[in-house]
Amino acid sequence: MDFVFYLFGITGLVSAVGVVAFRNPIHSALALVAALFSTAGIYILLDAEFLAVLEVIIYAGAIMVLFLFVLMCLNIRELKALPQFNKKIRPFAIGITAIFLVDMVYLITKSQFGVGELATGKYTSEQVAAIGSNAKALGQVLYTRYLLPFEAISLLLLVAMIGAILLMKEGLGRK
Amino acid sequence: MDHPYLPILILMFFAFIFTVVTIIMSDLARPSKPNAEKNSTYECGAPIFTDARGMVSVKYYIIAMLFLLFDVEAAFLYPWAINYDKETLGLFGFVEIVIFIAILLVGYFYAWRKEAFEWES
Amino acid sequence: MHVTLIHYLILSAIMFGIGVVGFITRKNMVIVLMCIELMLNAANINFIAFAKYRGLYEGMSNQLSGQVMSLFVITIAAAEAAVGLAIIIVLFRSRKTINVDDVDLLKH
Repeated sequence: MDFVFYLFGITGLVSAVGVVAFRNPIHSALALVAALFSTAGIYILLDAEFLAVLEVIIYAGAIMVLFLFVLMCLNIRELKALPQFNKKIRPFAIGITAIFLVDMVYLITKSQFGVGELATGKYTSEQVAAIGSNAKALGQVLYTRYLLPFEAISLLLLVAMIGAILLMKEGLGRK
Repeated sequence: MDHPYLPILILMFFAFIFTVVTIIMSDLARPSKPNAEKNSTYECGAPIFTDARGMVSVKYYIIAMLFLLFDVEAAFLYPWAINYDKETLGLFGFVEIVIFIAILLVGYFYAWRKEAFEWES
Repeated sequence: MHVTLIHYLILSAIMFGIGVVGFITRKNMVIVLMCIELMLNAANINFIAFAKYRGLYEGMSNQLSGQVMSLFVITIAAAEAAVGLAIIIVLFRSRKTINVDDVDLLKH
């Protein structure tokens, strides 16, 4: 179990570094796919099977296809000639992030989070198994308690769809 | 070590090993006599007429974007479908999902109206 | 050392940090969007880890709330990618660049 966590964690972090460090945008996109697959493995360790599947289908499947199509719609050869890294700001960015990470690690280890007991309540892993599946238990929460956010999400998707079509049809047409 | 997903992990491990071993073995076993004709891109035997790194039409983007958004919608329908019975959700859940789909249908008809589904335009 | 909530939180913090570095230093707008996806993903790990280990607090009905939130985050990432990439394509067609430093004008 612990071994699996370190396996997925390290592949996830290495591919995340790849996203930031690769020169070729296509390589970055493929590294992001690897990072998302590792995250899906972490989700399975955390008893979130449905989200792990969605991570692969939506993130690694649909969103990354969209990214790759856009990279192909743009002119790759011109893109590669562009400067990819902002070298002036890099030490600043790494310094700020290092300070942030030291703070976070200090706070997390000092907190009471590490006592290690699992959550109690209505949906522990045994109860989820009794319900049938993670997706089924998730649905029972999503469609009752989170009714309003659920309907709001459909509005968000509608606005995203109209916005993207409008940009494509009007923004490109007028020049 | 009796996690229910352990067989999948073992499968992944062997798939990885199999791929790596196959690639290394074929690399070691094959003769290597490259020439310009062999190294050219194979495109069903027809001669190549342009570089593959050109610009792809924006139409592909619109199709992929519509696929992504309706994919997310379908993902939200799945937990509803396996919960849809009289005890848990019933009529309440039905009305809820009809509202959800009705809002997204507006987007569908908008895309139709704007000819986002048309390939020739 | 046994893996506990702390390990997941630190993993997610490091992944978020990598995303921040990429977000600040990369010049290609598409990669900047990818780094945003990386950061959202790190936040998702946090949500799900808390859902498993620390589900029940006052005001929180049950521990699947974290997973539901993470489902919403994935949806928001999808919507953000769709609109953000559309903006990048239109920008590239009109300005011939997707370098973040070249896009500093507000007027037409």
